[in-house]
Amino acid sequence: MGKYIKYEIKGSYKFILGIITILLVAFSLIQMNIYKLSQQSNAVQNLKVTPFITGISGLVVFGAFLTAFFYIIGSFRKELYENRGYLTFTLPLTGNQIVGAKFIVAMMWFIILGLFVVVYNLLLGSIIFSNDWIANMKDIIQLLREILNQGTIALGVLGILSSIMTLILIYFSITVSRVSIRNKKLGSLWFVLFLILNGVIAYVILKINTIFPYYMDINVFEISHIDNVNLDNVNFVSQTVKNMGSPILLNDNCCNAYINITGLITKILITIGSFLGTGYLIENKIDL
Amino acid sequence: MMFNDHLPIYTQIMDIIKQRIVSGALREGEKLPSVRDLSTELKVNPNTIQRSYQELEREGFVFTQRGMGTFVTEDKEYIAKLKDYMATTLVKNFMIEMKALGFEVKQVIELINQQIKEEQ
Amino acid sequence: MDYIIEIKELSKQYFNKKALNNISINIEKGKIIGILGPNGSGKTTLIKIITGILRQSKGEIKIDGKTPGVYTKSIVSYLPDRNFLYPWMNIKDAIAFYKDFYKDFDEKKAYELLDFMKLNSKSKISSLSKGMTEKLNLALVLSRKAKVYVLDEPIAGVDPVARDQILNAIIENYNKDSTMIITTHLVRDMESIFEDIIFLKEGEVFLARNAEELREERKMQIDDLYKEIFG
Repeated sequence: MGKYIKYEIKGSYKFILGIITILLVAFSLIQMNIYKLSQQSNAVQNLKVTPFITGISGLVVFGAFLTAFFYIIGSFRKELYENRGYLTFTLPLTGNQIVGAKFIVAMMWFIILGLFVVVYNLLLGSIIFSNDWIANMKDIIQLLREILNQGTIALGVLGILSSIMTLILIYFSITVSRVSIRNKKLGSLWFVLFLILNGVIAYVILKINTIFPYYMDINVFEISHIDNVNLDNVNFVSQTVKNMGSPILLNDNCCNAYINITGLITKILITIGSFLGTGYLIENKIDL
Repeated sequence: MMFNDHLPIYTQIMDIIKQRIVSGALREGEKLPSVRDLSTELKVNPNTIQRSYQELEREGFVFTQRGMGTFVTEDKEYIAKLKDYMATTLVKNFMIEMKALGFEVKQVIELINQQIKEEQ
Repeated sequence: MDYIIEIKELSKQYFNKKALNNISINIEKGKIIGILGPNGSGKTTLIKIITGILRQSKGEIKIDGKTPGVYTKSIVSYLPDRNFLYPWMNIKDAIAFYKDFYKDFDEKKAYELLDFMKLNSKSKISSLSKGMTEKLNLALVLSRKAKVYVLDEPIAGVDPVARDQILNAIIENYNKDSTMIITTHLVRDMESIFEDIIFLKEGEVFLARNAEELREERKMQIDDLYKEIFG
């Protein structure tokens, strides 16, 4: 599988480098503009511009990830619909090895893109704002300290798990639609399938959470029934979600979170299941 | 090489080799091309070439030495006989066809003499 | 007799069309076998099942005693009838790729074959002509010391010089331990390299015999027989 990972990287690194180049240019421009603004003493105008710059930065990052995402999905589809499949699927590899390699490389690219955005901005910032860099870093570390707590970490981990599940569900949907319908024109049906699967899974998890409403307190790692969770502190978003059923994650107003154990396990199992399902279909059911 | 005859390929290859032997292109005792070489030269399945060599050996025109290859027989008389035989067969067939066209023996001889003059 | 491929009552049905209908053939070790038939006769379907990229609807197929899967893919060397290498590769990448994935791949032989075919290893695959692509693909496929070679239309659409090079490469790489299965509709150009012939007609085995026996019996070359059957 390691070898297949190598060729997955060789086949896609140029595109990712392209995205990184665009990010590099975009963030250089953004930071230079911030610097220019910071030189102007008009504080009122600064205040007006800050959200605008934050918005642009967000859009750039979002756009970059979306492009990478579509590229990765597209190259998976190509494997199933184009001539290259004749090479890939006659290799002496199991379906799981092929899907696994593709998944690992996809994750690697997302991590690299994320790291690049963070590291490059810090580095560039340190050069542009050289005099108050140490002060800036202190601010950033302070900010991180405030933000990072059990609650946000749990949210982050769950977010990553959800992204993993989304990617694997997309692989699964593409493969299922390829196996069941040979017609290439109907190939975009996978998206409908993906939406349906997503809906069904969300519903199933919600149901399971309601049947087994046992939550783990991240702070003390104790499991308790939802009735015993102190919901007074639970923040507005979680409260709203809670009113529709039992969500996987309940965040409180400050620093703690409660995770529904069965819901979490179900989510993980569904992810593993769709991974193995994709591997099985690729190995045993694909008709090129 | 295209094989257009109604015969199997191995017999056509045998004929080619016999022709090379009687014409002297392959001398007595000379080594035949290896199966693989002839196979690539003629673009023919190696097993077919192998079969031609086996049949030629059975008929006594070549012999095999283990690990050395296949050689043309050293029996000059035998080759001469083959030459005679091939010539006789050709003439026989020729006569049959000429007769089928309605030629008398005399006319045939005349035609042959005429042809020889033209070629000279 | 040692059979490398055993096919029993194999059928493949698409939505409304039968591509293969109840085929039973055994293929012996160490032979070059021609599968002949016009388009739609089931040639490609059969080949895809052998190479493990298509599943039968019914019946059984065993390659070296195993159903198509990871093992059979490691002993079957497949030349598809299309440009199957990744477009980003150059010839060197393709050779490295084969070397990485196939234990039976002989890198030295691959470079010799490239030389023989007059191909430059730095060329990008997307820049090659049809004939050069075909030669490169064949060089890769033949550089494996596989138990089974499956060549789908190896000389289709190439010029006469390339055709001769390809035929030579096939003959020179043939050996007693491996089996070559070749499809073609250019029967005249290829028939003399086949030992056995399988005629497929409308998804069924019409005739499967030794080529020389057929010539002897029918008093004609396989090409003429082909025209008689399908003409």
